[in-house]
Amino acid sequence: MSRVTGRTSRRTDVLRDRGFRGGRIAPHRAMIGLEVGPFLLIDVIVLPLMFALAVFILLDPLMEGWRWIFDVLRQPLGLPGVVATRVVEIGPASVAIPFYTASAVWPTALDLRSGWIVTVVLAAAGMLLRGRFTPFAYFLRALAVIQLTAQVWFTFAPPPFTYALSQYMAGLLVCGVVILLLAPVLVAFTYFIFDFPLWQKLALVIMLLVHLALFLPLQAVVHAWILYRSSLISMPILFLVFGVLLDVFVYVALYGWGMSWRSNSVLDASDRAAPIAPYRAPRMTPPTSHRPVGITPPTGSRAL
Amino acid sequence: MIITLANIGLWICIAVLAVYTLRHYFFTLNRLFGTHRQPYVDVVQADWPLLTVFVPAHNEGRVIRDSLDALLSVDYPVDKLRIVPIDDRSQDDTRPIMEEYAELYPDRIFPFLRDDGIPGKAAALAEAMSDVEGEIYMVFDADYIPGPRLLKQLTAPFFDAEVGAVMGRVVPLNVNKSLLTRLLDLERAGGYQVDQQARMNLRLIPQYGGTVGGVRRIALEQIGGWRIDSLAEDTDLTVRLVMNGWDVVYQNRSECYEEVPETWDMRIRQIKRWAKGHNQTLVRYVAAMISNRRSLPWWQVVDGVLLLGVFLVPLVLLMGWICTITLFYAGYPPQWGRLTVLAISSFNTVGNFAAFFQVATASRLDGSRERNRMLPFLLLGFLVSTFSVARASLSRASWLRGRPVEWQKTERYRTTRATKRPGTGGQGNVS
Repeated sequence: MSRVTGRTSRRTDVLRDRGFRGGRIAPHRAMIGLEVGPFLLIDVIVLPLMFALAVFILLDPLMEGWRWIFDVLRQPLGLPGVVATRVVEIGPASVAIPFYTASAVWPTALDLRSGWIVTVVLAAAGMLLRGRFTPFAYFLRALAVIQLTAQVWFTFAPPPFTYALSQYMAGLLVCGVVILLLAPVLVAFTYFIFDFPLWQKLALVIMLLVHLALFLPLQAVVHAWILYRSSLISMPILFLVFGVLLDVFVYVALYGWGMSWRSNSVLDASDRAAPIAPYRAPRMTPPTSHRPVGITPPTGSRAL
Repeated sequence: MIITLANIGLWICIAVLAVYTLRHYFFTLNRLFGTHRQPYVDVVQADWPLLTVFVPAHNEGRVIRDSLDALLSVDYPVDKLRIVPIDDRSQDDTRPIMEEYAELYPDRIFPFLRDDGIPGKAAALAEAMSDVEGEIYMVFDADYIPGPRLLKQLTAPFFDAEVGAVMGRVVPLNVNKSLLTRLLDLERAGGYQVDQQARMNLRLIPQYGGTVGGVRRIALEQIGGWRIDSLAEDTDLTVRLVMNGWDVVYQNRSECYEEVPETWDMRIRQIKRWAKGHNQTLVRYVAAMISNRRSLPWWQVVDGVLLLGVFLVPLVLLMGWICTITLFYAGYPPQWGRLTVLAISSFNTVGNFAAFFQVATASRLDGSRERNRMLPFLLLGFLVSTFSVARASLSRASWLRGRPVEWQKTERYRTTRATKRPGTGGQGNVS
């Protein structure tokens, strides 16, 4: 577990932190830090290894689960073919990645024309949006540029395209499995090092892994459906913007949420509860009344 | 041939970005677990040196009163403190306000009024500094509101004779104005609370930011004063001081409050200006810094080069994206394909995350844990910054030497006086 840097004894802590009327003086945020303790090493080595191992062991049932999701969603989405599997080597493991056998076609003239319209609309919206929509405008411009490369490629390059739908799906899911395996290690070095209680650490990593385990196959299904409906012309934008990058931002969002949790420990510098029992004024009984005087609540420094 | 080139290019980009990624992780871990260097920050009684505080201003009528009021109420011996507001051709009421304060406090405020000469902050400072006394020169932008103890905290490190410049922490005042101000608050927290403090801890090169900080007069004279032809006079000064053997100190405890841009247009202009100035400094000094190994330890040389190259990272990132797109269409080379895909997905995961880790840590240290929920929105800020900086880095101004500069102002938004000084980081109250 981590503690405030420089703390040597409980007594010193008590004297150092004691403020006006028994309140607690929080250390200034410029001075605050963490200490390396034995529990920290357990947190950053044992826990991630445990979770990475669990993901590794659960890969086969997980792939079965993904295959089941693909199967269930295939018919409602109108995707032809069947769900097949391809064995891929990821490190020391052989993983049976499921994918649809449906294929995405080379874009027709209509697809290309529609693509040009989408590109122009994206570019125009990106140029027209101003003010507080500026970041969104930049995003649209980036999408327009990527779509433009697809338009140019599919207009001038001869078929076939480098990737088939099945190959693309398998690739996307392989990247997903890599992220699933990396996630516990990344969480260990970026979250477990903080002074959160163990249950919060476990909650975040489990939430993250479960979320990704469900999100990744659904993302692949959506990509497959879009590619099947709109032809290969959508593949570049899906791969480059809404593929691994999107997965990372799912991670960032959950991490941000986890980092906003109250730990009730050293780094909740300004809003954590006072660990020292506040000073209490002795009870006094006024000579003219039997009613006790109310105890003045502590007004310890809660803000830095 | 194109595929091979794109593959090599991509690996070079990943290597460069990986260095900066490791730097982010290393700095963040150091800030969390390292020993903090904050020299003499608690000194309150001393024989304080003669201090001159400059407040360069160009059309700052909206904010200059707050700054002067705050400086007048700081805890520093009155006979050792001179406040020199500099007016450089303002067209609003900046000058009458300065004159009004000079009449009210004739022995404390000494305005320096400019009507000609080269425009720009560096030129104004260079001219004003040649005209006044003082052992230590401190500079505050006109929108900054120093706290009562700030001047002593920033002056104390100069008791070490090797210290040439000191920089304090800048905290946004107008955080709750818009999405942009909230994102800038997160970025500033990461930059100061983690990045600058880690550099200080590790005896690398904390950057003097040109405001909320000071420079020793003899150090400034030794390195030849302010360079008036620089777009980033602060970075330029930092590099020259370090190359001449002076230490630059960062005081994380010394906080000062500023207004950050509230509109994206203003932010884009600001970051483009920083990028051009930084790149200009890179061109000027990178070779000298690398060859100046006699006076600089190797770790400072490495940090200096990385610091100067920081505004080239968006260009590298864009190059990496171009290589990725090329490889995507053309197909990854069979012998490298799987490794390249693995590198891309790993880098996307671990590499992209480094900046978020740094910012989240800074917010956590600041006691602003709930602000971390804004973390995914930082992508928007990064996107705008990446394209803006890349554009600025590709412009001629980035690489020119000796270009005369002009006032590059950030618009002020304060409409009423800041009557209540902020108490906690980034949550200042402006009434």
